[in-house]
Amino acid sequence: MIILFLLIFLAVIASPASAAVSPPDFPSCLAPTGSLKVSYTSGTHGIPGDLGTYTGSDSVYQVVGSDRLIQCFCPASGTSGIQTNWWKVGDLSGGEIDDFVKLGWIYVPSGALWGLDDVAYLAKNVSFSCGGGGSIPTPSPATPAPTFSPPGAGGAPVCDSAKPAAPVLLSVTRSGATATLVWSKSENATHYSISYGLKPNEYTYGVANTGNVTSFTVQALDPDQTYYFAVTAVNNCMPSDLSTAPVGGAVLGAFAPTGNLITIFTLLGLGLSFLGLSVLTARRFRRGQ
Amino acid sequence: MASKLSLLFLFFSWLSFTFAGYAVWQRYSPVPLPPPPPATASGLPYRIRLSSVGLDLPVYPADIKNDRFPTTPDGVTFLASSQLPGQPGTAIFYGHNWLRLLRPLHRAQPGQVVTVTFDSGTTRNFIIQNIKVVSPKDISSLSPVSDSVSNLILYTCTGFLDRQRLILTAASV
Repeated sequence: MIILFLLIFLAVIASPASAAVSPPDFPSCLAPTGSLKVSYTSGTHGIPGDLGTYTGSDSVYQVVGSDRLIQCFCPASGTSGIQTNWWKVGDLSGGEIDDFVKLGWIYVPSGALWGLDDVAYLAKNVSFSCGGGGSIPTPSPATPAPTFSPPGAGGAPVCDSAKPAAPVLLSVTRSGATATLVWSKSENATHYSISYGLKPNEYTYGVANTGNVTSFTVQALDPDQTYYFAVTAVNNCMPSDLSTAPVGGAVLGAFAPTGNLITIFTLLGLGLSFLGLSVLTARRFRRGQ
Repeated sequence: MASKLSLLFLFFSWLSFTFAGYAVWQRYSPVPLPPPPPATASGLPYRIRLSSVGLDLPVYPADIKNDRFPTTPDGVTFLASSQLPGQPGTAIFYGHNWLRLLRPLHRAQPGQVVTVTFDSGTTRNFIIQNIKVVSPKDISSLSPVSDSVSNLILYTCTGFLDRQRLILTAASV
């Protein structure tokens, strides 16, 4: 018995703090979820833990209801993207932070330099395949960033572009594994992004940048699943609210009702019914007298 | 008591027949439409004309609210969130199939010209490419031909109990 307690005691002592606090899950930039905070179609960007600068597109999503963010960088040429997972340190102790740093996380004393809140973050880079050309990226195994260096590369992105109006999703035409979306043009939009998923308002997949178009064909869908779609207009780096009418298959369901024959027949039916009831009630009243 | 109930039913019956009569009058009355509000030079469509079938109607821009399409008894609705006529994409117009509104659309033929007049005074012509009858839920017609082509869609109800949609697709000249 004593030996058992001793073993448990040693296990607790020997285990790193990070084993007690597990790092949270982050969505993949292959299918980003959450709210789009900023999105740059081009420009020079910094990657935490890397003193170099990178040219390409950069989008930041905040995981809904949490302090986690993912930053998805795709280079101007090539498909080797870098996903940075950002995690607010919060109540982590110094020892726990040290343990996470040993596991490859980068300690960022203040997120202000990166356009985030002015609190400490832990960040971790993983690679992903961007796909290119606005198409859905193809999955690739995530690997840690090769080097670690103190933060400071790049500038804090401040988006002062006007917020564009949310587009209206006019139609979604499903055909097997593809869905063609058509949406309304939004003033000031430089490009659009599409979010979609298997449940309304739970978008687990996405196309970060469709270009400045008002239709896009999403591919590689499961033909047996119903998908729900929403489109966001983006003005340089400032995203709009999600488009209205996010439904699956056929957005807005149908063309407008432009006839009134059903109304006419319904009213005539009601009129006859009330007339019949009136006659029946009157007869019963006469019999009762 | 039963006498009062009978009178109440009679009143509802009269009310239903009155509303039905009004709806029938709306549908089949050839009375002229009320004059549209003055043009504001906002760059939106103001009138739509299909001379070959004698159709010349005011346009009322409106947008989807609470996932419902607005309609007007006084003209044709232009879906403001669709593309402006003449711009790459699809401009969507629709209206009731009443005698004084889009009932004449049933006589339209491919090759005829649809003219959209903007409130700025400029006009834009479209040639009817095809006319088809579809289910209200078959909205594949809204898909643009391409990002560079300017299309116009004008539709109204048709068929048994107005349960189908007559879709007219026209391309910019």
